[in-house]
Amino acid sequence: MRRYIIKRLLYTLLIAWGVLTITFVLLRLSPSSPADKYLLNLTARGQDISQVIASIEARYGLNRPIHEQYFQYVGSLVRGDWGWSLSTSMPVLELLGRHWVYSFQLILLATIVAVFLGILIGVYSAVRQYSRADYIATFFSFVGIALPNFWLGIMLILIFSVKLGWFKTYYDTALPILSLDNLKALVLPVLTLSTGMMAGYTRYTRSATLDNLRKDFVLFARSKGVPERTVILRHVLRNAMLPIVTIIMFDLGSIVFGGAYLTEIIFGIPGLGRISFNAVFAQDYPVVVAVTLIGALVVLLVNLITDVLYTYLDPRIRYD
Amino acid sequence: MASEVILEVRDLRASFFTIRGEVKAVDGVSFDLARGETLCLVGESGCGKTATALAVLGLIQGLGGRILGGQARYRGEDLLTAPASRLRGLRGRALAMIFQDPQSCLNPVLTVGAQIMEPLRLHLRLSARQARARAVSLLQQVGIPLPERRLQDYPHQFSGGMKQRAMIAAALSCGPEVLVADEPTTALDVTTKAQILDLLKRLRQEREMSLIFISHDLGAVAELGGRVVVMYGGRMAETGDLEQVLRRPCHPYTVALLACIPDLGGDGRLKTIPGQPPSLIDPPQSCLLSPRCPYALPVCRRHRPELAEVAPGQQVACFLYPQVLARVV
Repeated sequence: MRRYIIKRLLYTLLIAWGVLTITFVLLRLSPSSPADKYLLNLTARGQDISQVIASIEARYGLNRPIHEQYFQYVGSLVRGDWGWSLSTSMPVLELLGRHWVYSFQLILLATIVAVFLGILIGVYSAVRQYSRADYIATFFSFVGIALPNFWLGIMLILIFSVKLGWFKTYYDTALPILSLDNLKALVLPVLTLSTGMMAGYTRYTRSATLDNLRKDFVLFARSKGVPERTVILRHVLRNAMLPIVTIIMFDLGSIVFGGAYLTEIIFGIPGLGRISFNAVFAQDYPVVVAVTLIGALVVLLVNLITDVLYTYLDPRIRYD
Repeated sequence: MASEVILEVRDLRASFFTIRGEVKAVDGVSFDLARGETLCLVGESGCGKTATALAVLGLIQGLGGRILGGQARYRGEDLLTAPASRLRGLRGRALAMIFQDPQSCLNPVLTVGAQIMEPLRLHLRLSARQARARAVSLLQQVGIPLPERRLQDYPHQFSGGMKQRAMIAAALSCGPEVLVADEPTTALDVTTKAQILDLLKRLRQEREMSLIFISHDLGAVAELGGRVVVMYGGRMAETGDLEQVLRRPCHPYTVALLACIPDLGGDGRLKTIPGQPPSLIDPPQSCLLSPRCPYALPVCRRHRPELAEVAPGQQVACFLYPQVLARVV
């Protein structure tokens, strides 16, 4: 097992390096340069453009051949230097350090809500198959899956913030992270992000539970006099967890890039999604590369954790 | 058979409700089971033998079935009307069951030990340590070597025969008075099958336990002995002592079943019963065997034969016997 994990970690590094390289090269192949952004400001003040371009490009090493820039970037990255953010004028690492927590709390809370409610409703739906509750849950989970994240977010703001005035229309960054007010401010963003996931988990849990409810070992457990609650939790759900965990972990990887970024932008949450969104428009290369790299690393690590988790959920799975 | 009757089943009727209609899986089954007695339910697939056992144990509801009538009295208490919690308390403790396919009956994500200890902790409220000690001795009794170590194994680390042994250990853990064995040897190879049958015989004798043995395999039935109930189409065709049913079969279906046993001295061809088992959706009020029966009389297609005694202890539901015919005319 340890050998397997070490091997997988090495793979992770290799893939992360690939992602880094592709992002780096792609950005620098784009026809415009970060210096253009400065130019727009400086020409307005009537300064000598060519001189300014030369000095900026010299300062950030943009005038050197791409492979030199690349090796220099990777070299400093290995030493722990993530570069300098051009648009915000601070080290990239400091920028990430200030903002990662906003993404983290959003993703964490949304995942907890979605997993907990999704599994709960899914199991209930399966146990009461074809009951009224099951039909209602089925209807709402299809709606939940069909609703686009950004549309739902805007609707929630319109209804709960604009009409009813229960929440602010914007996420308030002045609030301390560990406070009730902050939690309240996160209600709508978490709802926006978790609805689709929760709806999906409800469906997956329902079908996995139904599959396992029909298994012979459930009949045998009942024949031993095991109470129905234990039959469901101990015998059925433990077996149903494998496909559910697969889809949860897959989502964890994909919402890092997808849903969470959109949600941050809709609600004005200054997380990594917002940072990279701004950085792309400002052509702030080091920030774009860094956020992409972090996203890739998160996805790869989540995959590794999933595979290790499998061996605990299903003793038949062994990697040695 | 003068000893005390433990289980008394009277006119049991149970159906499965499917989209195609009501399947009358059990239609008027009655039998008595005395302490230490073996009762064999015999018949081809889908004849209602398993459904009968599941109905008695209250397990048929979880599979989409419903009990429509009759009684199943365990020591005088009707199981069919008992509250679910009472029935659950009896299952695994007084009435246990083992199933056909040990491969799928053990939970793949729980250790074998956990599954044997489950009823012990539940019904006898044993501590983890006590339950473990009991489980070790149970595994020993069913003939699994190195029981301490095997307790921690998962089902996939066991062979088919060993899984069946483990399932028997789990079913017997609380010392039940009645064990239902539903085709316990069907999924096993011939050598293992003989071992499991021997094991069941030995455990039944040691524990003075009553055994309901469900099988389509008359060889296995002959091995175990006791009383035999031959079922056809959810109904009882014939019942009697093993000797009577095997040596002097009275029902044409029993005769046909016996003729199907492969014979070393024969012409090398396997005999079969021509025709299909009857559909139990909306069955006609006639003898269900009549379309397949070489001796069918006009009366067989109009009336349903009821069981009548043709010899002491032997009952048959077939109009070829005047005792049966006398009931309609």
